[in-house]
Amino acid sequence: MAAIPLERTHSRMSEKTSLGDLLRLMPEDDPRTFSRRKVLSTAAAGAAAAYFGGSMIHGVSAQDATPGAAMTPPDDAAPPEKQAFYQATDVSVAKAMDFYEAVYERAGNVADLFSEPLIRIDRNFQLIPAGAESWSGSEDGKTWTFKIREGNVWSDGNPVTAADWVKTFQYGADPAHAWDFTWFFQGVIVGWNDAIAGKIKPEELGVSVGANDYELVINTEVPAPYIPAMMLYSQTLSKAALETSGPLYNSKVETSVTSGPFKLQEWTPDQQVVIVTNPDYKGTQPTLITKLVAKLASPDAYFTMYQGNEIDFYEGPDPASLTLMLNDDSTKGQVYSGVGDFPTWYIFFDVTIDPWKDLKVRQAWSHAIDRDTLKTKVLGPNGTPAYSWLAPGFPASQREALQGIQNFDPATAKDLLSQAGFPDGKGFPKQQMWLRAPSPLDKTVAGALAAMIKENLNIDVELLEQDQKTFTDALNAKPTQIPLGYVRYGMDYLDPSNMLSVWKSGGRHSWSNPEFDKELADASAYLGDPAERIKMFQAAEKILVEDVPAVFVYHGTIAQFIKPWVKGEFIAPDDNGVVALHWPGVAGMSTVLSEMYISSDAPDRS
Amino acid sequence: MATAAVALQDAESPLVQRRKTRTNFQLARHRFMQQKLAVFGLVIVVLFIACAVFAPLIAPSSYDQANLLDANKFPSRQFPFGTDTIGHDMVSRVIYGIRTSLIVAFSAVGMACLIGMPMGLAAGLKGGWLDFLVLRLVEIMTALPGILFAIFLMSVINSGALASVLPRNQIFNVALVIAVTSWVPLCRLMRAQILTLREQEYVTAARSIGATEYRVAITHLLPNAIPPMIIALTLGIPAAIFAEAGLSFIGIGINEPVPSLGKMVSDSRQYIQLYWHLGLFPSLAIALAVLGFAFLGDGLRDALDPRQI
Repeated sequence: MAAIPLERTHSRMSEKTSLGDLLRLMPEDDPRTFSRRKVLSTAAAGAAAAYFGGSMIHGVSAQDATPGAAMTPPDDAAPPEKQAFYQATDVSVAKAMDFYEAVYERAGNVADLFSEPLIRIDRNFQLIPAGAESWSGSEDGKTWTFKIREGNVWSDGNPVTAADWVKTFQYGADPAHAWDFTWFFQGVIVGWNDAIAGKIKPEELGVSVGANDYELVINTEVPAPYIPAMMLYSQTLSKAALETSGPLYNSKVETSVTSGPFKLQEWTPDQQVVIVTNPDYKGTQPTLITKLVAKLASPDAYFTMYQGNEIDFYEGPDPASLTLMLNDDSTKGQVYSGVGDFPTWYIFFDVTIDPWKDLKVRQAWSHAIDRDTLKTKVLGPNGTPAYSWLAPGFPASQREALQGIQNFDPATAKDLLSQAGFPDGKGFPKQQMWLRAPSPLDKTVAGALAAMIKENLNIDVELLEQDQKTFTDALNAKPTQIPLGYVRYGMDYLDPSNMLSVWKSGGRHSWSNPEFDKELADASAYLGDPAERIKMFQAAEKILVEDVPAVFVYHGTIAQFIKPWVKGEFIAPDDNGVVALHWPGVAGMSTVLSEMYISSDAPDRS
Repeated sequence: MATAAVALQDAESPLVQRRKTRTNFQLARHRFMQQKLAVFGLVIVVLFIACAVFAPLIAPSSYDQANLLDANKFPSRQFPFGTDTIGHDMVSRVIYGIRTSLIVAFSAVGMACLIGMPMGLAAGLKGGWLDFLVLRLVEIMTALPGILFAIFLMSVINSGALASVLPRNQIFNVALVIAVTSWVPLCRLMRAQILTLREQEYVTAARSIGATEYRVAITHLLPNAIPPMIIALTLGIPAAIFAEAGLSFIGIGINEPVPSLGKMVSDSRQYIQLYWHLGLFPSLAIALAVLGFAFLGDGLRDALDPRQI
């Protein structure tokens, strides 16, 4: 897969623009937003066909990648020693390098590159074989067999086999490990729930080595046609390294073991993580990039770092940075906006405690948020109003159909609050809204939300900024320790079962609705007509939106800044014309790294 | 007779009469008023205290009232200090920010007094093992870097680990943390004062006529140790204002939407190239508050210094 130089599509902004003008100029008819909508028709249909069609059960005919393929550098590429891509990572978050160590505390931009997942996706969200060269499912959809690609080796000389994945899943389910992403496989993999509860040993999990060392078998509780898509998150750990060096072995150069395209060169706490090409790599993701540098910094500093050419890329800028970039002819071409991981930002309640037990209170809050003004004055190209859970473009999304349930209607909001026993907000306890390691944009949006609640409901809301770990631990605690919070969630794979499963009983939040659970379970396991399955998911989402365990605020359409010397096919328009660095970004789960190179006009930062 | 007549004449001269009728307070006030910077500081402090006390009356709007449609307005007749990114009126935010700063500063200094003064008094008066214990504690606290210790304490509090012990009032928590990290100078000053005063003749006299230790401490030592303490407290207020601004600047101090001058300056950094007004006015307010209290403290020190009487 050779990288191809490409003319990049620049922003349509051409004249000087104030922030207000800018934000007005980013309505729903933005070409990029339009393209995003087009994703719906193509991606949803494609995903449905790819994931749930009969062929998916019996085999795979996805695009293949050639292991160990040589890369031909374009004419304008910088020499190999200068093929370095610089990014920034939140210093308060970067604690681990592996997904199965800590999802929410890993050095995101350079993590997950020390092994291959079973499957990765391209920029059109299509599944591509990676660590597994093929896969198949049983007729009942409950037994999934992955054929592991032979020839991959760990840097300690051990071959990469199915036993590595088995050990990795067992490690994830081990209650002693207390992995922060256990909910992902709850109710899916046989024995997972019992294992994380300590009722059975992790070794009894429904993940095993098949007929030979290169066959991985995953048994599921229910028919799970989405299992191949879930395996996007299957970056295996080394069984041998786990057993000899223990957890976090990839946090030190001397114990680090890799079978991925990169190896750890440096981890200087609070400063930077550097990973470089793994010379022994034999996998399916060859790269021209020879070095990835993650500068560990506060998100507040990202824009300054970007301006100073310390980093080549960052996304989710605050409105002021965005305006500055777009107002400058020399930088406006560096601004992009993509669909990201179809994230939704939302206010959530602990519905098991007062005053959130009362549906009328929750409904009042949902009607008190003026999302259109938020879009116009704060979000701009960073987001679009949300009235439901699934973002436009995501399979089963029905924003327009559900818009009336949580629409902005301050009169109704006041009336509902009054019916709940709090006329004009009197007697309503002052609230603390938890924020998870908020970015400058998050802080601005949360501040605006608090102001709207005050103005429309006369309720005082204090914003409580928490670091990633504190927030995540409190969120995952059973019962949850967060009465009221503001957070986001983006897809892990392009299927409604993933996004909606966040709300299943015992999942991320305390909300529990048997009717929703049943609709979701039935839809997820449904092996029939994809269109019918989509309708089933839509019915589940309607229950969710109507019961208001959360106020949906906006769907992210993430603005990105990319330096002009970062080139390659990764930035080419996808099948729907979206031009951006696609989710999941620079990671083993995507093709971005294989399609990227640094041109010779990059500044020297050695 | 002649000598007596001269003495009588001197006693009736205006100079002598003025000296006779001036109390120590009047002399101190006189010296204070002659220091222009001290008077300037006093004026600022009075103005700021008035701002804090009457904030709801003089602020154009409540601190948490915002209109997104008015966001990012530059200073104008309608909004003399402009508006912030959410649409808060910056005049109101600065006024309430001053209120927050002063509440935190006075509370912190008050709590530091409650911690440091009794310990210094007891150590100086009792001596022995109590003095040893207090001095060791003082040394431990001195060895800890104040701001880092404050950050650590705030992080612990913000994590909710002390939720069952502390109230959900972030202003109180910030003041408490500043007090815990700033009581040491007050304790040492009080101890030093007591060590000096307890050797004075009037203390010996009081003891000789049977005064108890408690009576000596409360009636004789404490009142005479107060003037230097007042100076120390006054000079502690700008330090507390700075500490609160610093904690809020790094995001672990006062929570939104309660305005804090330090947080306003911190938030303005993102917008400094676009909206200069967001950082200017809170920065000026911090500078004036700190200068005002510093000038006032210096003036009080000079005015109350007994060596100048």
